[in-house]
Amino acid sequence: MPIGSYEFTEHGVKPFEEENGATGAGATSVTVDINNIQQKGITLCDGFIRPAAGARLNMQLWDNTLVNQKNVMYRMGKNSTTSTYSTGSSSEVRITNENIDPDTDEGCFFQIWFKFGENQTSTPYEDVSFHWRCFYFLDGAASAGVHQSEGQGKVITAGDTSKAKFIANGSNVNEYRLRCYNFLSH
Amino acid sequence: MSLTFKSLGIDDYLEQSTTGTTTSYTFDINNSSGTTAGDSGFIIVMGSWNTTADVSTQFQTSFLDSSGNIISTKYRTTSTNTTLTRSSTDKSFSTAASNNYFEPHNMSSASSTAFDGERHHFMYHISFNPQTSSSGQPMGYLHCSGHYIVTETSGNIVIGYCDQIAIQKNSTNKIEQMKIQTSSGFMTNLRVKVYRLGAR
Repeated sequence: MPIGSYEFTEHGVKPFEEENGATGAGATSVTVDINNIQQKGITLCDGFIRPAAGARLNMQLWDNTLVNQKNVMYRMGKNSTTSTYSTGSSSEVRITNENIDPDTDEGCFFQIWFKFGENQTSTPYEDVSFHWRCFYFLDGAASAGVHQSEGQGKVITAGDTSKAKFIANGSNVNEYRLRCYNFLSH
Repeated sequence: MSLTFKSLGIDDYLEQSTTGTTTSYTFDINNSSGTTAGDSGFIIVMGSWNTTADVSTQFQTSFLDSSGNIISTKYRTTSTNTTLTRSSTDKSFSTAASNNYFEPHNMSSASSTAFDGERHHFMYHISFNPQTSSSGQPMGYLHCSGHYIVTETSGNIVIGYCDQIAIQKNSTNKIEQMKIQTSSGFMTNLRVKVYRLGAR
């Protein structure tokens, strides 16, 4: 899997990572590479996940070995008829505030931008941060509604951040597509 | 459709502009044809415009197939100014998503040609994913995540966030164009650019 240099197509940058399935991942989560060569730059993770049953979408960040999980600090805003906000300092980012509808043609759609400054302790110190926008169908009867969420966060554990694990909290991942584009520099 | 790579980045796929007045403007974002799926990819649309008169209006976005038929979408908008935050209620599959729930007043000056900082500005991040005919592929969709800013007559700044989804199955894999429009009044001095940052 080439990564770390641009792969241009006639239409732009080729995604270096694409994971998808229509019949379920058979697991509570799907993991994708977001920077498995620990370079500096930007990665866009473009995603769609439909859980097997009503579930919230959470995200964890890991190193390349999937041994060391990263802690994060973040704030998430939920936009419904009124806006509320949730904040956290934890090992897991709450991407949506409510359970996502598992029905066909529904689910959760998101765009997450990761910024990789300097993964290692250095002077001046800079680590990994991210921001996202998400649109999701609310769990419930047909046409229960749709919500937006948005948020920003930062990684507070030193060392490389290489993989993102998307978790259907309380259920399994059913239909999914995750595509990552890298704008990494060096 | 092709992109040109330059030393400073990539060229725009499309640039259109007009100094005339119009209530809507339609432009290509993909190369679908009939029921043929367009290319998957990540597309950015950006632009700005003035109104011709001080009028309450909503700025709306729609997606069309190659025959000009509007594809229904589902959307939610959140807008805020200095004192209020408002969000649209659940908008069932709709033909036009509003990007500014405030219905702001616009140009305080009758001059539509002057650049006076009261232009409407927008940028849309569009994930375009047609469903392929291959087995095991998930549902296709278009996710348009928009940012919008305008000045009210009062001088307040209004910002808006609009997320819009169009489901794309084999029978509807045909989104080719994007349409922007005003619910009332006119747009003028409009400029739109389309960039394809990535694609399979």
